[in-house]
Amino acid sequence: MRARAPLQPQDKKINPFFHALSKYRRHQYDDCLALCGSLLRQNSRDQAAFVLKCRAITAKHWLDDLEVEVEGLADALMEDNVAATAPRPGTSLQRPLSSAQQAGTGPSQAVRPVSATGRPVTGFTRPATSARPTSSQQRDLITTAMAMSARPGTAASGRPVTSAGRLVRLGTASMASLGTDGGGETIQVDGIDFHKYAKRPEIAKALCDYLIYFLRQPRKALDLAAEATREASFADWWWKERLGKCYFQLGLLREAEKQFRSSIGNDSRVVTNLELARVYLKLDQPNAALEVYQKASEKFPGDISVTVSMARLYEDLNDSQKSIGLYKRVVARDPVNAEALACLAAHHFYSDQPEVALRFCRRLLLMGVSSTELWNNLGLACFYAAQYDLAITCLDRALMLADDGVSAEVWYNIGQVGIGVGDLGLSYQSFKLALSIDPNHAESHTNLGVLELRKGNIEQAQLAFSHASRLAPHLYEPAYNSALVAFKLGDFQDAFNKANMALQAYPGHHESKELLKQLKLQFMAF
Amino acid sequence: MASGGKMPDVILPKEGLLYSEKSSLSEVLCKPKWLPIKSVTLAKIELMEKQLAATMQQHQQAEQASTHGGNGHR
Amino acid sequence: MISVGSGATAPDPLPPLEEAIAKERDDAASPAAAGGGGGERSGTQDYQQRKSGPWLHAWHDPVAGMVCFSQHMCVADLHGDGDHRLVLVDRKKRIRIYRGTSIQWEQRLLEPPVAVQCFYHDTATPPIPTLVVAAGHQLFIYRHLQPYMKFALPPLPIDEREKDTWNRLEGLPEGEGVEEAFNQLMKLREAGVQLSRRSMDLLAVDDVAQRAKTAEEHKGVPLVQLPAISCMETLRQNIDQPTGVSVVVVAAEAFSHKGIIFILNPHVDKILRKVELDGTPAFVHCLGLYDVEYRLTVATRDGTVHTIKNGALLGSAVELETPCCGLVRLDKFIFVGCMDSVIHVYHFKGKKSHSIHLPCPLTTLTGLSLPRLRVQRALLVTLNDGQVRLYGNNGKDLLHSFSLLNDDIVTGALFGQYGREEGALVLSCKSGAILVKILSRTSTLEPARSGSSLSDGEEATGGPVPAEQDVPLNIPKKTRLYVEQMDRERQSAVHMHRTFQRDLCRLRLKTARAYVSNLVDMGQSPTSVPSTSGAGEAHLSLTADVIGLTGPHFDVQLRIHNAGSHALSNVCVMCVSSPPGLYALTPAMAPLPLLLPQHTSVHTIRAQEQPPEGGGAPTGAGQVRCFVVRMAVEGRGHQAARPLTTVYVQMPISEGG
Repeated sequence: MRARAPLQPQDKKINPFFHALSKYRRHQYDDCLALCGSLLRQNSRDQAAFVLKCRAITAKHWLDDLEVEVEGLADALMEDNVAATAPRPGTSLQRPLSSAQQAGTGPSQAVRPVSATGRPVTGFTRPATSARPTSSQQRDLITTAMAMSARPGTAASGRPVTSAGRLVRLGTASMASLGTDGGGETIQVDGIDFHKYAKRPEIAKALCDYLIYFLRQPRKALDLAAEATREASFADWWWKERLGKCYFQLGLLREAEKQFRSSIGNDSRVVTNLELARVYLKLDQPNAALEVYQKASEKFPGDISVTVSMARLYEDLNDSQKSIGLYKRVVARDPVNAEALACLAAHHFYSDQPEVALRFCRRLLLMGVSSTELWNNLGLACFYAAQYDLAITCLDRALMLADDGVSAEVWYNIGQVGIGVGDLGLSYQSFKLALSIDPNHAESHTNLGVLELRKGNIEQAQLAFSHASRLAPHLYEPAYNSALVAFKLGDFQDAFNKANMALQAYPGHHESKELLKQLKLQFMAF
Repeated sequence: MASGGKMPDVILPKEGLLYSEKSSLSEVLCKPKWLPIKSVTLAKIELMEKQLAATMQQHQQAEQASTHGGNGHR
Repeated sequence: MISVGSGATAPDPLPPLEEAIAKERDDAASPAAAGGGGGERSGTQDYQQRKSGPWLHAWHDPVAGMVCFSQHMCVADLHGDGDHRLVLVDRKKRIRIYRGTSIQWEQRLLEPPVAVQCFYHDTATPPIPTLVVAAGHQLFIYRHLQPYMKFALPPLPIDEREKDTWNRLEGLPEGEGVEEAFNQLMKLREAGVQLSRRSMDLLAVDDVAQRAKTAEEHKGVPLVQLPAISCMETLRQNIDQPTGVSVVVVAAEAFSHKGIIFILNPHVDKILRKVELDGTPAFVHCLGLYDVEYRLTVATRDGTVHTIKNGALLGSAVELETPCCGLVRLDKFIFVGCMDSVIHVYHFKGKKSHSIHLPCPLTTLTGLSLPRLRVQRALLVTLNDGQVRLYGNNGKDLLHSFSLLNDDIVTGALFGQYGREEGALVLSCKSGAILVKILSRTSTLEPARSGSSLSDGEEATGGPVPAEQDVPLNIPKKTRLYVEQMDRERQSAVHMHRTFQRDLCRLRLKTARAYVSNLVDMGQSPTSVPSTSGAGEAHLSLTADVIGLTGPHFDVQLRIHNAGSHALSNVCVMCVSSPPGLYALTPAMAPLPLLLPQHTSVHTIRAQEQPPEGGGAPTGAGQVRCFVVRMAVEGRGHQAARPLTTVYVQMPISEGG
């Protein structure tokens, strides 16, 4: 059987529907759609073909809901679902348990860089990891998210700002891609009478998924699901779960919660539990989410998704010990879980065990993940684990694979390698290159400033530091360096302000405190 | 203070072996950046968005090519 | 006497404070807590461990609403029944007397009080003390909780010439003669004469018209300078007993930078002695007996500590670097707390003994003295971060420290007998709460030895060993991988080195190539790297921010920093949208003002996303490219072909429109 050639009309050896079904099972969705299209053209009332077509299109464009945490900037700003305005530490995602530098919960900010939201840089990104900054940073939401979304060249550069916008874009993207594939017309849903379809659960379920995952129209899906669940006299967990999903996408979180709970009451599944927990996370109630996870892990012992979700939550709460423990458990059960491997690699790299990080990265490589980030991480891990012969080749590979935004980061890391080797010329050039690609890369600015200082260009160093600290107020290094230079120049007032800014970013920084002490002595001498 | 002869027994104090000295302050470099690995979903979304951008571009170009009397865009 | 042990029966029900204390005693007597050391208490705690070090927690009223300083608190046996009361005054002109855990009496005062003291004025039985409240220039005396009398400090002598000046002003109509009076007073001040407050007010006014008004306000009011009381203490007269008759020592501010100490007789109707000194007194402490020999230690606001011995001001004074914010005298040592978080300890003769450095500024300083203990004296310091520290051995040993919850700070502290309890510590907090703690009977004010009742896990700091000695270094474990890799290194060292060097050279080459090509590109349209710009003469750096959430209106904020040393003129900024036509930019070209050196100027451009031609789907975000260009000057020849600096701004996707 020729796998990829379209079906010839004269080839009537197999039942076309069976053919289509077999393609569907083999994940060859385009062929399947072609076959279904031809079937429907012959008989537009062919229900089986209709259902299969729905399913095929859905499967082609299916995105794991639980991964896509659609929270844009505007959502976070205009969030009024959050109940507590002054939450106690550890009870809200905005106030994680400890600042990132409490002993025993992971390496301090002096070792592990912190992202714009105030949490340590994570090992794994999912679409829109939480954009909410921790309140300990005392910056408003706008600056943070603007900084986050303003990186040129990354996927975020085109990211719409509200979740509804995101959905619409995804829907448009899906429809457009389907159109160019020539796989057939989309199914017109505007004229469909849901009531009729609700009586036929098999067709209705396929249609519902089509609406949710392909057309991204949760409202229509909601109508359909509401009808259907009534028809099923509220006993089918599947409809309630889909209802919950639609409510969640529309932002009606309390209704979503109710639906999920009742679905779990009917028949508890892992997926429903995870979605319920996600509702609580959106409501900024991490403890409630944790409870759900606990119950789910009791019901489904050893389930990977539950463990992974719990680990993610602990990481968001800044409890890296628990998070790492859970990731280790995941890896023990499922050695190819990319997220767990990535997070463990990041953790070990910053805990001064780069060889372990190297091992995890190698495993990811063996799994077939071959992206700039991975090669970059491999290069760094090799370098810091003293496997110098491998380090540069990895960084080279990373550069080759890089598209615009990330290559700035790779050049930055090459600069770090240069500093490690002692070749300051190499570092200087690398940092300049990083800046030419991404003028908003604050770390490159800082390190460039330090190099300029060594060369003696104090003016330019100061400029670079002030630039960096304006771009990234969550970094303490440029603020501290700026303060130190001002102190050496005799500008004590400026030094005092900058040192306080550095301490705001990282309250445990010894050198800043030392600098402040010396400044106090100077001030008191007057 | 023996002048030559055998070495006296070395007595090490049990406390005070650790000295805390604050050296002069120097600049601090930013740390090497570990890049987060993208999930499959994220990669897929980005791919879809790229494709969308590409199709839109093609679309626009096709339109512009067909309408000659556009507003003088080059 | 309270009987220890459960089932204590007393003929009448104990007032709540004693009950609380009795409960503490019961707990303390149980074997679990023997040997001291931070015993954990079961049961609901909304406060720290009930027994924290030597302090037993007795009572906490978080909503008392009285914020008092140390001078506003005092304890005394007001009714002669052995049950000492707590007297609090606060700046809201209230006086409140607490008995046990409840308010016994509350009244309003006429003026905001400065200090409150209780003392015995005669040796009657039962001994009823007098309560005196200092406010303004007057002393209000209460006896048996009734206002009894009022004593006003005498006005101070004013210089004749000043009086003349003001008298002359009296006769004149408004506005006239003010200038002459002003100059006259100015001359007097330069001559070193102490002027009254009124004259100082007039001299402080710059505006001529205002001066006339100020002078007018004072007409008709007799010119009198009253001393302003700043603190008050009591000094035993001839017997060193708690119920001995005392004289009242009042410190007041006379003229600016001049102070005066009055000693009044026990009946507060006559001034026994007056001592003048330089500097406004802030704190006073008394030691000795008035009839025999006494010393007063006075700390002034400008950082000097004077001693007055038997009514005569001693020549030797202690000069402090920073102003004083607390003064305590225990035996032979004077403890002076300063604003730079240090407590200096001086011998009463004037020689400095040592200093105690605190981690943060202190708020109050109180002395503890309990005759029944072997070590009778200790120092209590409260800090700005809520800690309450107890120092012994003249401040050389930190005995104990605890912190208040809820980020509260102590504003006033008092140690004395409260209720029937001899060693009670009363704390008034910034939030208005009142806290009473009791020094437990089993504690000694001695530094922690092993097993002593005082050690709550606190080490007595001091000695040459830094505290970090006991903290293990955070070294990661040596993994097996690490060892394997080290082996690999050892074995193929040469190969690794060669590969590394080769790769490094290649990397250098690659970087240099990329850098050069970047420079060449930059030569054509310099992008904004802050350190250098391709144009050579001008050092400009240009950065851009986008303001706007969903559009279609966005603001692009450009910051132009001139890093050179010359001002730059005749520049303008031009903006283009790419793809062209996507954004309507206003203004597309704008001249910039003079760019000063070392100065950043901010310029905003409004970008509005245009709906696409022919109503298609929105295409997504584009870029706005901004150039800073030198403008052509009339008759100067060609315009520079290259922009000075460029920035490409990526616009966010707009959802509205």
